[in-house]
Amino acid sequence: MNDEQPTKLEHVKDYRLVIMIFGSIIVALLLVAVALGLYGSSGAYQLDLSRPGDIKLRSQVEEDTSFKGFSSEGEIDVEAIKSFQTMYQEKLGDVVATPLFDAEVLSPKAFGIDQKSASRNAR
Amino acid sequence: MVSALIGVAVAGVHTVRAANQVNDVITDQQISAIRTRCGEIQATLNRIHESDKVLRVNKGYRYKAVILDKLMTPLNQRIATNQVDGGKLVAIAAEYSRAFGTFDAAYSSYERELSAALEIDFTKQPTAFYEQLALAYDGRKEVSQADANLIELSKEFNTEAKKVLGQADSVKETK
Repeated sequence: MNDEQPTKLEHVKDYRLVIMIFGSIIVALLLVAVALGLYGSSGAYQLDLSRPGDIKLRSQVEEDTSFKGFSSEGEIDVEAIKSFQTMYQEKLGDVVATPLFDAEVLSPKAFGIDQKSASRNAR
Repeated sequence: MVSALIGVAVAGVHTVRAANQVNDVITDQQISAIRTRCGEIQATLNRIHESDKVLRVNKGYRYKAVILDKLMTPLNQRIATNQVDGGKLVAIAAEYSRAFGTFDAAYSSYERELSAALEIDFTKQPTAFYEQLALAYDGRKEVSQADANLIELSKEFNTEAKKVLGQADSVKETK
């Protein structure tokens, strides 16, 4: 007669498929949590325009992928100097033409909620 | 005697702080203005939040991917391989790289403050909103300063590059 009770190890072996499935899900969830944590803490989410709500913003991104830049190889001759200066002037022009982050758009005055504007409007 | 002087000094500091706090306290009229203009403020803040995101992406691309990575760095490498003295250009590029880090960090912090301001219910917590808006305003001032600094350094690099390349060209001609 074989009436021996299964040991704990044998009991675990019986459920190893279920344990593996749940274990995998837990590991996957942990990795997703870590990835989301990094996405948030690195500031990547602040610049991420791939989310569905940002569709109309994506069209406003101005990236010139055709621009190869100045080559780091070769001599410094008249042609190279001219080439660099033309490129740099053009790109510096783009940088200067881009509007600055104007701080005053967030001033209480801009919203009409500074002390002066609020008291004037209250009258 | 000494402890009395310290006591007077501490009291003085507290008085100054209290005076500053009084200036920062939001008045009833301001609270009322926030509640009245709630919709308008919300819409403006949302618009600023969205346009800032695009502006930051565009600026980041131009400052880092174009000016630094495709122009400053390759020029410095070429100058080095041609054994031309470009020490100052390297220093400006290094300063520029640091300035970009500052700009990035300043924007990140500013964006968090602005997002926090947008999450506050203006009508229920006008004072908290006003304080949070002040933090976002300060953050934006830092972004603006970092932004202007990057433009200044881009111009400085251009001026220095003209000098260095001009010298390199004249040296080559005399050889």
